[in-house]
Amino acid sequence: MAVPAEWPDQVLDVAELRAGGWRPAPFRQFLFKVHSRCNLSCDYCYVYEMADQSWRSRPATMPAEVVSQAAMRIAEHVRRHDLDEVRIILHGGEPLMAGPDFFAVLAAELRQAIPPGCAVELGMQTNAVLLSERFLDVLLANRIRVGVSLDGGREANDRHRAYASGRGSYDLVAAALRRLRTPPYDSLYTGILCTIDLENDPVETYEALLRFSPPSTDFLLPHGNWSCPPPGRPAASAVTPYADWLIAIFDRWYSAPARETGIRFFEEIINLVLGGASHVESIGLTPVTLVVIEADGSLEQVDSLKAAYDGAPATGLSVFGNSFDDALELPAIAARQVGADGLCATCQRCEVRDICGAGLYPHRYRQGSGFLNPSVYCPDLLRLIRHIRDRVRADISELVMT
Amino acid sequence: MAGETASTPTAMPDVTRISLDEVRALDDSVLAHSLRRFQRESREVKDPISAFGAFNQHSSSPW
Repeated sequence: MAVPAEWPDQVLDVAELRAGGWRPAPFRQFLFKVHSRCNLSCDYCYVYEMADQSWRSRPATMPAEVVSQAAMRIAEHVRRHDLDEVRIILHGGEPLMAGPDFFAVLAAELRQAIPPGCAVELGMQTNAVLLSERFLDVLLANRIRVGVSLDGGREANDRHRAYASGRGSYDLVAAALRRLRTPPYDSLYTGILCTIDLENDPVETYEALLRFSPPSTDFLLPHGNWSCPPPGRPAASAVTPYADWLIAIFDRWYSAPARETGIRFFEEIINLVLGGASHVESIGLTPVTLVVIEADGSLEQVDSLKAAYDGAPATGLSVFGNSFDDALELPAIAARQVGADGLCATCQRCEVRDICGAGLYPHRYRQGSGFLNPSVYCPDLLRLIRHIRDRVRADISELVMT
Repeated sequence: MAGETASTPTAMPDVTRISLDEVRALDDSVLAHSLRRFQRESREVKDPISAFGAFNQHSSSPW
């Protein structure tokens, strides 16, 4: 039996888009999967615990020839599109498992390959359990900034973020965060990412993160979609457990007399409400300009698509046989660059369309129809956006009147 | 689905009526930070969608 085409693959016609005047935006962010294994065994991880199992066939550490070839391809893309800045994001698995020397070589190779007129910014997202002073020295010497994953206090964090043995990671992460906050390493500290667990008290979770004085934080919705709903979020139900959870934090954060830290998701919504643009893929209609380079050199779409179905992020392209421009021609990449034209009819009619942008792309997936759907978090996103919009509007009204 | 029960929102007041000096004089609140960012980006960036399309961040990566 023929498998029906799912949007956008084999449905979105990039040639037609081009004929209509649309042009792809070049990639500016390159996410390197430098290590495809992890020393933790977090039960919600989209890399290991969800539909896509492609990590099993990949090399553990990105080989030197993949790093060299990827650097050459980025340099080619920079020259072709005359880019003045690119960002390299080092990710995994757990990136620190690649070892400190790997990062010194990678940073040198990238900075050497990319034309001098283009700034190269390097950052990493890590679970931090291996973040020793030796590692920090290497990261400092190579100007690689560090974001850390932590889900709150000890009990909240260790419920999911644990070793395969069941031992929690909190104490090691807390010690690493203390090192990272200490000069001269504090210049590398970008912030903390926290995945939401409805079982945790939201304000306690926020305040647990504040103990580490993060320059910025973000609260991530657990991955899920219409065919495989997120925990506590039945598909097609009007309940809003995630909005309720986030609103408790928003009110605590927004009402503080002085800003205690940045909360990226909220700040992006406020900026959109004011009439600005989003800087993050999880909200708004800003074109996504990120591509993933797997440890074996495969080019993939955004890695969180691994949550949707086995093989979801695959493009069939590789740094060895393809340029990044080849990837720009893929319907799956174009779908995330066409703004409101990439949204379903329900989203098109929605009052918060341009703020929400249907949320994170992987959360729109439904088996059979693909990604042309609202987010499985639609009721939560609508309630959260309305709440933030109403609070900001009331305050702005007062300012404008005085 | 909630998205299908959209209401008509009240318009946001014109943020540009708040002057640069007024925003600078605001306190250190979240709103003040947000207004400063909005004004900075409005001044510096002619095409914000294009500019931030350049760097809209991966949901699970550094800022």
